[in-house]
Amino acid sequence: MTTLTPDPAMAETATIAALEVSGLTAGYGGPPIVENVSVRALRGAITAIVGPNGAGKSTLLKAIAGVIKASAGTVTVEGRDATGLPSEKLVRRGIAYVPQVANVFPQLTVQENLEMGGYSRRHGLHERTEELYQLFPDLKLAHRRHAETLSGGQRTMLAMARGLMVDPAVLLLDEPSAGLSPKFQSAVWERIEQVRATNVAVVVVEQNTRETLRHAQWAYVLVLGKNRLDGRGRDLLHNDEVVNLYVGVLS
Amino acid sequence: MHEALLTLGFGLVTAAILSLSALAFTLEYSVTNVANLSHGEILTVGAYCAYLVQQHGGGVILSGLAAAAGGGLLALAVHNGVVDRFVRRGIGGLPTFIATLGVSLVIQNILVIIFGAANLGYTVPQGAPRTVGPFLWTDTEIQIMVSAVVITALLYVIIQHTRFGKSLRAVSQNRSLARVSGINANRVAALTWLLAGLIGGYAGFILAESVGTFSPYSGFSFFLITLTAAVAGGLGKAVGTLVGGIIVGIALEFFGGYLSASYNLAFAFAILSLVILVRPRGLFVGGRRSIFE
Ligand SMILES: Nc1ncnc2c1ncn2[C@@H]1O[C@H](COP(=O)(O)OP(=O)(O)OP(=O)(O)O)[C@@H](O)[C@H]1O
Ligand SMILES: [Mg+2]
Repeated sequence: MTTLTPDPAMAETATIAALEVSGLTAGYGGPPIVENVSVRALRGAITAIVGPNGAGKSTLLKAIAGVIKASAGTVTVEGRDATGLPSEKLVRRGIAYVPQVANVFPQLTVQENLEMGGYSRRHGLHERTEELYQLFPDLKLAHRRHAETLSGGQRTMLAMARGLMVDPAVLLLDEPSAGLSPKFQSAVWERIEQVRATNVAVVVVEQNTRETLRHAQWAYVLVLGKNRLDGRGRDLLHNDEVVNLYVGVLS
Repeated sequence: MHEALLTLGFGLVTAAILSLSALAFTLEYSVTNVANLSHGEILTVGAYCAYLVQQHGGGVILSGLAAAAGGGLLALAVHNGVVDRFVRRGIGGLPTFIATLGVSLVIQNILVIIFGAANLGYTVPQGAPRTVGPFLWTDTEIQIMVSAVVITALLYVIIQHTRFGKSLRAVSQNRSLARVSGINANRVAALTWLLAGLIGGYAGFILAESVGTFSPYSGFSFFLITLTAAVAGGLGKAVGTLVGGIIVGIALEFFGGYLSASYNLAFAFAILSLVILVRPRGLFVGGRRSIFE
């Protein structure tokens, strides 16, 4: 072990993970969609979860966020057990979740969306809103508009900002750049990097695997609802197995 | 012309009652996505509560408050005891719909057991009708309309501008996203049903005042008309519901004025069928599904 590597895998023994998911099994009542999945995420790092369509990435995030109940496994947030908590409690523990679709309140204004994101805050709602308006200046200009009138890119920004209102330890993002133009995709990544720099543990599920692996300090490959492999993002970029999983996607 | 204006005047009274009832129904629908078939019983129970208070010498204000309280408690009980149990298990739609029909029948029959099935008289000193512009209204009718306007305005302020109102709209637009935002959706839904029950119970009281008699079945009949107004306005949309209530209320009065009031229900259903055939998503659809916007 070298001592100077800022590598999350190396830091493993020293730091308490912001999010530690272990042996999670979940589904929608039928056979489990994700089975015995383990994932950990550190503050100040981007952790990616990639995998083919239908691999269960969204399902995994839903189970972590308490939207669906896990039938086995544990979720620990900053060293405290949070297994089985309903989503409205998990958010108070520092888990913010931005779903893949329907991730803003369409008929609330931008400002009201942020206010709802900060619903569990006891104080500092106003200050936090201003902080996020600085991170997302577009939203400030549109603060009185209904979310449904925003462009796809603006909506993604609003969805992220809504999640960030609680000042979370962990931000779970489900395909934040899906369906956006390349220009907006890089804008989204820029924001994600900025959020990471504020010492948040960012967990990103993405389709655009190449770009994601470039940004991720650590990445998990999920196949058919199970952990296939994990490693540093840049290493996985050139991993044969990953390339094979994505023939046609990566090329 | 003069007679038409008089009829319009009576229509506005019906419209006031109907709008309150339809708004309450819409509130229930908005947070749970369940058409509450026991909504009429909230009105009925409100009327009986007001009646009991009146029998014990209570005045108009006390009777109105008792009606609201009775309706509110019933709505809260139906939500927490029945509807929420389905919603929590992710069972929406038809099963819950049928369960609320069961609740409706149970309450009707409990009321029959306690009070009998016959009509009870609800008489309030109406005072001599006075002319207001082209209209002729009694003091009671004026009280009904003014209170309906005040309640609607209050409801608007609550929904648009309070933290509770915003969480109500958030839950109605996306319950799961509301929960991951930290909103206790079940509690918001329960409070919304309580609020709807307060309004519905009061609507039952002014309905009894206006008609002069009521029975365990009155609320259910009026609910069928309420449903027409709410569907015409577009389910879950408060402004549409309000307009729906006013239009249907006035239309009923004109129809009743020229033919017979006993056809009201058939007429309401004719409107409902027509709306469903022509504009299934309501008369005032702007692609939105929102409370007050
Ligand atoms: N609400 C649901 N009810 C039942 N099954 C579901 C539900 N949502 C997803 N599934 C099933 O779970 C499996 C995994 O879906 P999931 O959305 O988690 O995959 P994913 O990895 O996020 O895919 P994508 O990359 O397309 O977003 C799929 O087979 C899907 O059909
Ligand atoms: Mg997905």
